Amino acid sequence: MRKIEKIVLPLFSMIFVIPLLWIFWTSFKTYAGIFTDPWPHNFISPFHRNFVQAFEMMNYSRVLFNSVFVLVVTIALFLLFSILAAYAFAKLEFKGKFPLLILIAAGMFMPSQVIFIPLILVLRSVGLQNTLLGVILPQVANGIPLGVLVLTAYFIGIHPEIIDAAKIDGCKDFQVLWKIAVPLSMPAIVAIAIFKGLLVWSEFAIPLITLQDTQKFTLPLAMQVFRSKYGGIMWPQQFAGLTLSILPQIFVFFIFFKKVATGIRFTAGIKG
Amino acid sequence: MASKKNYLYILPALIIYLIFLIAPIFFAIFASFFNWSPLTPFKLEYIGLRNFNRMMSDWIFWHSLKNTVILSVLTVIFELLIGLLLAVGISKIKRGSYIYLALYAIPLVIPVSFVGILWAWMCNPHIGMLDWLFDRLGIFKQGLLGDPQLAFPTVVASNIWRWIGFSLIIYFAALQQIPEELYEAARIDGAKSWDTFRHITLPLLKPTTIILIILVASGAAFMSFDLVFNMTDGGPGYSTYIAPLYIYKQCFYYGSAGYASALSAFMFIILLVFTVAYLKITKFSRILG
Repeated sequence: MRKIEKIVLPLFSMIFVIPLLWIFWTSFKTYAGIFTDPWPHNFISPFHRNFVQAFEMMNYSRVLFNSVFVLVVTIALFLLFSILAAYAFAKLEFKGKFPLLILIAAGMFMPSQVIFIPLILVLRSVGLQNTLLGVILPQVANGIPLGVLVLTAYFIGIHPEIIDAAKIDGCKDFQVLWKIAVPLSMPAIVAIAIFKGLLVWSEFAIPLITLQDTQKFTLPLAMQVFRSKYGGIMWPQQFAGLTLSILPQIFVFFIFFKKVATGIRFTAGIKG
Repeated sequence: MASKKNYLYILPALIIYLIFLIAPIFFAIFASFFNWSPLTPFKLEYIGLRNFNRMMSDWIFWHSLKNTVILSVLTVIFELLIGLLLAVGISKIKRGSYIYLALYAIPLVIPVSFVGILWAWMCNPHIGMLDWLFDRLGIFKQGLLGDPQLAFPTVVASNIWRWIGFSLIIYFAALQQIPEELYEAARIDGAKSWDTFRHITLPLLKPTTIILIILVASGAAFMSFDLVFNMTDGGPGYSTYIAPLYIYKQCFYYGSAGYASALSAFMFIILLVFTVAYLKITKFSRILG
């Protein structure tokens, strides 16, 4: 029993690792070397040449900056808006609470890939066509249902006595939120931030319809354009480009793996 | 103690949500009664229900929708089965279980569009790793993505490859929460390991499985636009078309934005069913009262 697992698990995991290693070592190959066979040999002598060329052709530093900028701003707005709204739904009184919550819940599974046609109309009417803000705000919007529902559920769990005690000490609602509710809900906040972060980093459809200016491209879009421009030729540079595009998140992933796993579990409703 | 000031808390979220998520949905429904082009988005020509009539007889759309459903169903089935098997296997390992989880979950952090490119290259008849392998084995002579019979199964396989870590991580977490005493009690009563799996593990994993089905089906079905767009672009022929790709092409390649809106509106209704199911099943139903 134990022995089977020790053999099967590592072998099977190779299915997930080898394609990435293949991309990695092929980035170092000569053009002709790519066509002989898929094994790691036929490397070019100045090792970094493919990478330097890919770096320039993809406008990599600019594109990576755009991707990080979109990620950071999207997550910041997403968390801020979700926390504020969830706190009101969980702990404050106002009219029309349940209809509003149901309205927000209705958008749970409206992914960008289905919404993009009418989104063009909206982006044009508010003048956000071809801007990074036009990439950010729609992604904040389609994260709000998940963010609000998960955090509302979490804030409801905070004991009313803790909040009452703080209010007796003179805290206003706003202070209660930032000094008590948010610190107590850190696990949930980190979890949804990571889950949403994975989706934002991967987002392809919204940049595809929003951005025309190559200076504003995000990584997935830049890679797609790079590939359709040089398809069939410049293979080594394209492999180097894909390596450059994949590597940052794999690093981050291994450093924060336990947190990433928690983020995914949380959204499925499993705590702990 | 209802105070008007309390609305300020929900206002930012609500405004963004209404403008960028709800408004597009209503725009789509509205725009589906018109003929318009993505190049001139404000010149609308009213044509009544003609877009919906066209949808009813558009075999490519129904073919794409069928592919979307098949892709989702197969992804869900294989991912749940393989994910559960792996989770059970990994949970038996005492040390280093997190390393295995991480290895299997690597594709999960790679943007779906990159997964599409990666698989397109692996199947490339000139440079591809998989193509080279199958050449040596003497099977799939036409190349995986060049053969209309094989292209769609290959897309499904790549989708499963991308998402396997998701079900694995969730199943693994759910397994950790089953108290060890239950298994011990069963062992004392003389139950074999298959019996404990069938009568203890499986029933306790049922709620997790239901949520996974919804999350994976919706994720797999709609993120697959990024995948197919970058991997096959629908080809060869129409063999790997899926609904979101067809909608995109109707709008941007053929300029029928009105028709694309009608198809989008139709998709919203299907997605709403997913949403209602998810909200009913998860704990969110409680806070919704």
